[in-house]
Amino acid sequence: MLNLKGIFGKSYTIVPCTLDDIEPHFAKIQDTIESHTVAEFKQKMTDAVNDESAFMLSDNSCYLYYLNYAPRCAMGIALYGKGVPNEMLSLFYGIFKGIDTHTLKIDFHMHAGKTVSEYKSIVTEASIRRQIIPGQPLVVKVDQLLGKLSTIYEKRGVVWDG
Amino acid sequence: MITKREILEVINDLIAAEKGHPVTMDGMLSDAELDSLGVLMLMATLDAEFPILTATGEDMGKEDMELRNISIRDLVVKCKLSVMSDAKP
Repeated sequence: MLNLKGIFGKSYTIVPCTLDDIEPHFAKIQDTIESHTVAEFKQKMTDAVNDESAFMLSDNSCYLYYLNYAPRCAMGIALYGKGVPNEMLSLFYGIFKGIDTHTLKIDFHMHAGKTVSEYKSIVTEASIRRQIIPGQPLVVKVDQLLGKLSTIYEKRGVVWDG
Repeated sequence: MITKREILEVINDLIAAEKGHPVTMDGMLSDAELDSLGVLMLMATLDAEFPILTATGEDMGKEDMELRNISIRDLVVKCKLSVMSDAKP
């Protein structure tokens, strides 16, 4: 568990996802998952929970599941935070500043119906350009994102207390 | 005293950092085509320099959504007024 403040000073608590969270979390995004991949998708969510790389805000407003495929590289499995950008940024910031400080890069493959424009502020310019090539992931460079958020925290005088 | 043109430059620098499109004084913030995270980071950074937001941290997510529909001219004027009111004794 980790407590932190968002960039506007509101307090949040990040907790690990459990196996019991998988079904309700999957229900929030099931419309974007192709039916023939559901079992495989849920297995990856299970693997992420077992690998202790699945986290959520305690108010259940957003979550992130990912799996490391190399010591510093991960594959994003499931991300949800519709309509709560403040919470979403706090989740990313708290996980990678205070809990998992070794992962530097996360690749996300977009599901059907999602567009790069929904995530362009947190992914790399290069990965956005590569979206014209089928199968290319969107890449979040964790150190860049943390650097950007740290600058905003500093400018706003919000102290990291994670 | 910072001019409206200079404030517009600040806004466009912040929009560029979030991979958005430059805006003009006659446009809307939505013309920048930022995602919701980008709008939030833009407004958080802008508000640090020009205290324009009235919402508390708990309400910011909702206010962010409404700010997408603000005109750039209104945003610039809000920034300008925030600095002017700060200068009052």
